[in-house]
Amino acid sequence: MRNPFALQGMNVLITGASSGIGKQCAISCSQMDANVILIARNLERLKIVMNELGEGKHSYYVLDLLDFDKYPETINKIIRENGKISGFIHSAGIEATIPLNALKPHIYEEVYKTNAISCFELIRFLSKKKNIGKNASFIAIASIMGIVGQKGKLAYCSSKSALINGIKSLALELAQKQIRVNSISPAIVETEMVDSLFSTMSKENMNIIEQNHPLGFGRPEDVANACVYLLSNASKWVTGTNLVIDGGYSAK
Amino acid sequence: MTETEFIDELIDILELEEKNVMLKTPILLDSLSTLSIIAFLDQNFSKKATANELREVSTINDILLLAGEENIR
Repeated sequence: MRNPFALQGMNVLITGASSGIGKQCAISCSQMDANVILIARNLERLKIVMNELGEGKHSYYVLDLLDFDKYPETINKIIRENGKISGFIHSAGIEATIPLNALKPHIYEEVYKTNAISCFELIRFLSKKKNIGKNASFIAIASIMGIVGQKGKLAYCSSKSALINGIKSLALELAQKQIRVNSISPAIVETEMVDSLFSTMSKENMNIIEQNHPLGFGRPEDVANACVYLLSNASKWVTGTNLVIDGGYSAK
Repeated sequence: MTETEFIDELIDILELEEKNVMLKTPILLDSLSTLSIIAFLDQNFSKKATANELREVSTINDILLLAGEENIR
């Protein structure tokens, strides 16, 4: 029996691929025989990830996702050099713990652009007939914070909500092209971004947060495995959904 | 940022109601205002303060010292 989770021959484009969940998605997809195309801002870190990938025709491109004007040129180059894209994981994002009193419009703007608008804009280019492969699947890494609220996280929570609901609209709009579009909402996953967040917190607060995760904090592979499922033929009837992977955080 | 602008920003963020807020004005930070000050210092002065450092803060001047005196005109 053919493995329904195999990604053989798929070109999978991954943003935020130089660290955390994006990096693990790249590794996991390559292990499932996909050709992985990495996008991130930091060239040196991209090169390090390339060395950790399994066999396949992998490549990397430096792109600052806030530089929207560079998207057409970069996507054209990627398609020219790799062929059409049939998988996309938007893992780039920024965390922002800033209470209401300290928020300013430019902060919302940066968080929204990075977490949501860059994803929608990349999908706009990738979903064009000339760029998209057969039975394509797009995945946005959102957050459980896009579903539940959290003190001090207005910009972050609302940007992830925008991503989750935007994905549903896109699923409807792109179904006629046989493109599936889904999001994944993890709770806290042990990554460099979370380490940075915890560095500003007291040990006491960190313990409280961990206790809110009945199964403890997640690992990047917990999310990457879900991405493999949503990219693969095993999920061919799944679109417009938001898959919550949170160790029980939102169960109560 | 001038000293007056610095104090005005903190009056806004911490919702201080005293009439004559000065550098020596005492302040008490709860968990949310601690997060606000961490964000304020990061955005305006690129200073990464920790919750432990802010636990020691008791006046406006203590926050100014975290921002760096050289950054206040």
